[in-house]
This record gives sequence, structure tokens and C-alpha cells, in this order.
Amino acid sequence: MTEKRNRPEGKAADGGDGMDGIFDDGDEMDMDTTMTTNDDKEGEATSAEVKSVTNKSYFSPQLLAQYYSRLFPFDLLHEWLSYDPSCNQKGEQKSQSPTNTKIFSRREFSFTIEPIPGEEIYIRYQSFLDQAELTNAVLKRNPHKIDIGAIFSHPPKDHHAIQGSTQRKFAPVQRELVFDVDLTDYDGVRKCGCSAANICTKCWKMMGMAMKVMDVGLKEDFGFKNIAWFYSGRRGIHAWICDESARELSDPGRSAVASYFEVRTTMYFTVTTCVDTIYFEKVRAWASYTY
Amino acid sequence: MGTDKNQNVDLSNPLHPTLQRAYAILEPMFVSDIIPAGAHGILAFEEHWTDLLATLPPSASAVRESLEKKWKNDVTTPEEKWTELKRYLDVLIGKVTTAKKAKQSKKMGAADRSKIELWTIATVFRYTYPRLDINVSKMQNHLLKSPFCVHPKTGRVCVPIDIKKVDEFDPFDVPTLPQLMDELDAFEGKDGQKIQYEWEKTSLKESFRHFQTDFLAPMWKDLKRAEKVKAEQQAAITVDF
Repeated sequence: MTEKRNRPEGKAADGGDGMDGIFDDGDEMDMDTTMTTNDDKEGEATSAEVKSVTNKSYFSPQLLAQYYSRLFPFDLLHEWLSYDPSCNQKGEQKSQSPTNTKIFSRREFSFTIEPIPGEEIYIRYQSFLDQAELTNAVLKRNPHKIDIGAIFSHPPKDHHAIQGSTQRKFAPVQRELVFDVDLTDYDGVRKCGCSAANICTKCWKMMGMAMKVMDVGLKEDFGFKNIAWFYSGRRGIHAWICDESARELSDPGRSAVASYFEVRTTMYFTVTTCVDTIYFEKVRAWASYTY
Repeated sequence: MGTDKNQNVDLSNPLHPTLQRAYAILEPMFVSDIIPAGAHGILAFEEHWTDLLATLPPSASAVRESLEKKWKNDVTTPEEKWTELKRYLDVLIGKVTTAKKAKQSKKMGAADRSKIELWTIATVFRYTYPRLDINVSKMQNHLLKSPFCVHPKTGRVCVPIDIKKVDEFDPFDVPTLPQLMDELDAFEGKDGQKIQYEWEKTSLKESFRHFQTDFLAPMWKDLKRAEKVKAEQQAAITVDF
């Protein structure tokens, strides 16, 4: 039904393994991709519904460069990530506000670039003084993927110099609380014929359910207001909770909020033939919220 | 705090209020988007409902046996089957009493009753409750793909989703790179139409606008309010001294 296509061995594999799980290891870093072939699907009850979202022709460095130069909303991204109320709607600074300007310039960006087809290079600790610097770097590098990390104590691009210093400590100080839900984790209960990276309108409903439950919980139980939801581009969703109280959460605080939304259900099923049992055993837990 | 010791707390009776609320949201969607034949068919095909009934606790084996027999030959809808299953279980645990069953249910212990009650909830949650990739949330220093990027495997843009219109969101409607380029080429401006951004010429417009008006604008208000409060507090301190 599906076939695995291996990418030529590239630098990304090493980079991905060596980063101690720092990546969103769901949607992004997997080295395999599953493709639905039309022949296999023919004659199945679900064939009309299952669509492959993977297609090479939808993506090329040329198309991507066009997207970045004409459509990518650099100002919306900058306006958001600077958290600066003195910005006007065009993203221009009305008054100089050095503290907040610094928030943007202390943000880690990382780029995945592919200078030679099949050879991915991951560049971490990029940071940019302002929107123009970010725009110029993206247009120049044409990254296949841009990742957003934490706001650090110092501009991440200087991290080597700071790490060598005894007086100054380079550490993350702020970061949106983020959530990632992937349909891959629903394989045991997806009865639509989809698995792995494939999705269809039937199993996508599960993402809608997840968003509704999370959104109301984050708002009503934690009082968060500034929540942005995004399609991950393939098989899942991301939530960015941007309230100051969320951005300033410690790592244990983040774990506590995330655990609050977990629930373990395995033991209520008599027969453990459920394909997803292992999954539940591994991560489903519901801890009391005590942070 | 979320240590190993107090994790793995399971569903318990009475259900935590947040899970009660989740159940109230999810159960109707379980009925409309999981059990029917046009969805995941959990209660639409014998093969699937046999699997489901097999997960019932041993103390509910009477329900499993009688429904397996009954459903083999009847033409009820999946929704009716779900209602029937819940009713059978309610009768079994004595939540709903019938003259015939009143005696029988008294024999069942509290633990078994609770297990049966929670089975219904656990079943709904198993198909519908959010399954978080928790490692992404745990650390400040974790990278996550930037919104507005394009997924290299699909060519689709990571667009904002309006939570108020979440049921209308279809990932297959999200524009791909070639489609966006076609839309840019095909765009013909109307008289008097002001275009600030090129994305306004494409199908990215609605989701990007939503991000501006429903996320950025309210967040600004909050930030400005917070700044004002801080300034006032600062002023008060200055006056005091």
C-alpha cells in the first residue's frame, strides 16, 4: 500500500541524531516519506478519500524563492515575534523601545538548507537584528525549512563568544508554550486506510477534535488568551501560546501544563489487541497540575 | 510537579472536571465523525464492532454477548448502536433500573461498576482525545517549524487556522506553491482595490488576515495594556519617593 523512499544519505541525518531530541521529531526530521501509489489504492472502499499529500512537483527551490520574495509575510512574523506594543501595523517602530527590540534580536532561528540536492545542512543559532536582516538572510539562503527556537539571554549568533566567557551565561529566557499534534500518533485508531504521513478528510477530523479540546482547556483552565493555531503543512497541527505568562514558563512548568492534557486509557480495555496500546503505555499519563 | 511518581494517573471516578468538559465536546464528534460508515466505521461494520465490544470489561460480558447477537441481524444505525450500548451498560451497573435488572445490578461491586462507566469514556477518548507529542512542549529550548513556511514534502503553506472555523478547515484546500504562483499570475485587480501585500492576491488572504485581526491585534491590546499598567506602577513608585 505504501512504499518507502529513502533519501540519499546527507548531513541532516547526522545533524538530526546529534541534537538530543531538540527538534520537533514528528513531522519534520523523519528521513522516510511514505507515498501512496494510485495502483495500490484502486478498488479499495476508501480509495476516493485517501489522497497523497506528497508530491515532488509541488516543491522546488525556484518556487520556494518566489514564495519568499513575493508572499512570505515577513512583517507579520516580525510583528508577532517582537512582542512590541510600540510597533504599528506595518511593523515599523514608532518609538525606540530597546528592550523589546532586543526580544526579536535574541530569538533563535535555524535554517535547513540544501545547497546540493539530497544534502541537507542544518544551521542553528541564527539571529537577526530586525525584520530587514531576517528577510535578507532568508532570500539569500532560500531555506527549505525555518525553525523558531527560544529567546536567549544574548543574541544566539554570538553564542560561541558568550559560552567562552566566565561572566556571562548564554541561556534561553523565554519561549512560547508550543504544542504539536500529529496524525501519525493516531495510526492505531485511524480506520480510514491512512497511516504514517498519509491523511484524508476522515482522519483530519481528529485534528479538529484535538484543537477544540486544547483550545478550551488552555483558555478556561490556564487563562491563556493569545493562542495561534497552524497547519503543520503535512499531517498535523501546531499551537503557539504567546501570553507573557506562557512565554516565561520554566521547563518543569511546561511539562506540568502538557501533562495536564494527557490521559491514559489503556487499562480500561480488556483485550489488548489494539494496535495503539504501546503508544498509550509509552506516553499517555495524566498528572495532577501542581506547578 | 510532573515527576514519574505522580504521573500515570488514570481516569478515575468521578472524572476530573477538565475531562468531563472534554467528554462533552468529544462524544458528539465521536458519534458524527468516528462511528458512522462514512467515517471510521467503528459501529458500522460487524468486524469493527466485534473488536470494540471485545474491549469491554469481563463484568460486562453479558452486554457484549447480547449485543453481538442482536446486532448481527438488525439494521440500526451506528448512532443507534452507540446509544443502545450505553443504555445496556447503564442498566447493567444499575444507573438505569428496569424491574427485571434491579436485583442483578446490586450484586456488582463498586469497582466493577466504575470500570464499566469509565470504559465508555475511555473508548471515546481513545479515538478523539488529543495525542500530544509532549517532547515538543516540555523544553524552552526546542525548535519548532516556523509558521508560514512551506512543507518541502507537500509544497503546502503552514497557514494559520481559525479555531472558530476549525470544522471548515480542510488541509487539501491549503494552497501549494505552484497554485500560489498561478493565483498571482491570474490576479486582476478591481477598480479602487488597494493591495498592501502580494498575498492578498492569493488564497492565503483569508488565513493571513485571520492571523492579523484575530491574533496579532488582540495580542497588541494586551501588550499595550500591560505596558500602561507597568508605567503607572512605575509612576506611583516615583511619586512615593
